[in-house]
Amino acid sequence: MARPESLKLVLNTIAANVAATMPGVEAAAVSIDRTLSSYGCNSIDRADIVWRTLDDLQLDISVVEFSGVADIRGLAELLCRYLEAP
Amino acid sequence: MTEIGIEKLHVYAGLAAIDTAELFHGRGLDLERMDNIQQVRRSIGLGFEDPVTNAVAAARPIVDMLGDRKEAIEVLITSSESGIDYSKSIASYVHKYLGLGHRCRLLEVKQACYAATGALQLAAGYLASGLSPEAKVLVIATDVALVDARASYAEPATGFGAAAMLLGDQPEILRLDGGAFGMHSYEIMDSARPTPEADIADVDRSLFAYLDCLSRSFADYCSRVTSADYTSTFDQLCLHTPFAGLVKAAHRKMMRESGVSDPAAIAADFARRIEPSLVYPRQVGNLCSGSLYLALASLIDNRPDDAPARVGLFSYGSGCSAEFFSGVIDAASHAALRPFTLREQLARRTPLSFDQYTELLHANLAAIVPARDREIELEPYQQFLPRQRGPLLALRRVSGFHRHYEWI
Repeated sequence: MARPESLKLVLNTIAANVAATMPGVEAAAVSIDRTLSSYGCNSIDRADIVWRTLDDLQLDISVVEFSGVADIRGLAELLCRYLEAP
Repeated sequence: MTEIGIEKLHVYAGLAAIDTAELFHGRGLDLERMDNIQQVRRSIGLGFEDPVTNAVAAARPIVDMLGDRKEAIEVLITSSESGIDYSKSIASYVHKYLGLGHRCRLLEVKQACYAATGALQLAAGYLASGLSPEAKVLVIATDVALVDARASYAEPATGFGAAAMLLGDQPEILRLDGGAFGMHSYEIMDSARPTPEADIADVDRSLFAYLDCLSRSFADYCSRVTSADYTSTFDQLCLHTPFAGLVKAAHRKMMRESGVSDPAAIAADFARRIEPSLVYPRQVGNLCSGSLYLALASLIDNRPDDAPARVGLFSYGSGCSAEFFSGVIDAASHAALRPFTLREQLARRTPLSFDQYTELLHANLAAIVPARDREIELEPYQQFLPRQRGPLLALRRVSGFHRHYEWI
């Protein structure tokens, strides 16, 4: 289970990048219980958002690790795991 | 060190094409997503065409130009995701119909959209070794499309055809920067062709892997070329082009990683260094391992001047394997490409309505399905043949699994 502060940082970063990528979407409206597609993101948008988030958090994660990610919660939990890794 | 590279390059992009808008309307796809793929039209095969006919169509103008000097071709490599036999190579048929000499190695290579680049680099090493002076290598990337409505938005982006490259020590098209390359490979199931009837793809996973491999293969390139910088080392860039929208996203990522985040600056750089390479791919669709070389031809034909330019090239094949390498083009490149009149070839393709396209689909989806015996009638396709054309190779029958072709 991710630490609350890690989850908050990751979610805020994802939300900021969704807002920066999708016109009309406010960062405050991005919910962990939804998918990127539900905000109108196409495949390029989703890739942009994830890569920008990885850059912002300075994380280097193998593409293979994203295979099971189905929604924003899954993405956030994956990023937290790497953020908190020793 | 002897200069090695691409001496001749020709692309065959089919005889017919359907506009992206026509396909979107016919399938009821969301028109707003056309901006994402940035495709204008795609090439469509006719029922007598297959990876052998495509390869021959791409290579024949090069071989004809060589005349008797074609005997110097001592390696023929076909690169394909559209194999026609688990053992017998496409190259074996191509060798026959190009009339190449017996003193020749025949190979077929496979690693999705990367394989032709792997073949090119291995051939370049062979040629640079000097083991066989004045030898030439012919590499042909050749594929057919196996998409229909099941492919959703991948259907409008899929191409058809072949790219043929003659490699040697008189490189007019592209002088390779010897030893300047970076590689990145790993196992991932992003897209594949597990049967001869359909492709499978996880779009998100494939995009991620493409972008990941671009960054990492370029980093490996920089480990060999320590002064390399994405923003300044390359006057032009050619990237494997599944669809133009992905190339735009890839360039945006690389610019950000290089410290350039201003959207206007990124857009201007894209327009200057990459846009010329996308003109032909937007007209043809994803040509699989020939895609990068269609982009190279597009760059040479469409850039605003013929000054010497260093080109950064990125090849990516699902599964996956990727390479970033570089070379130099100049006025000789344009002069060497001009006789093949690629722009005019693309304009001559017969435009298809959506109904005509769907009528052709049944035969096209069976192009590489194994059949012990088959006859192919030409009459249904006569209406799609351009009025102006040279001799075409056509698959006429399969007998005991042996494929028989005729010039029409």
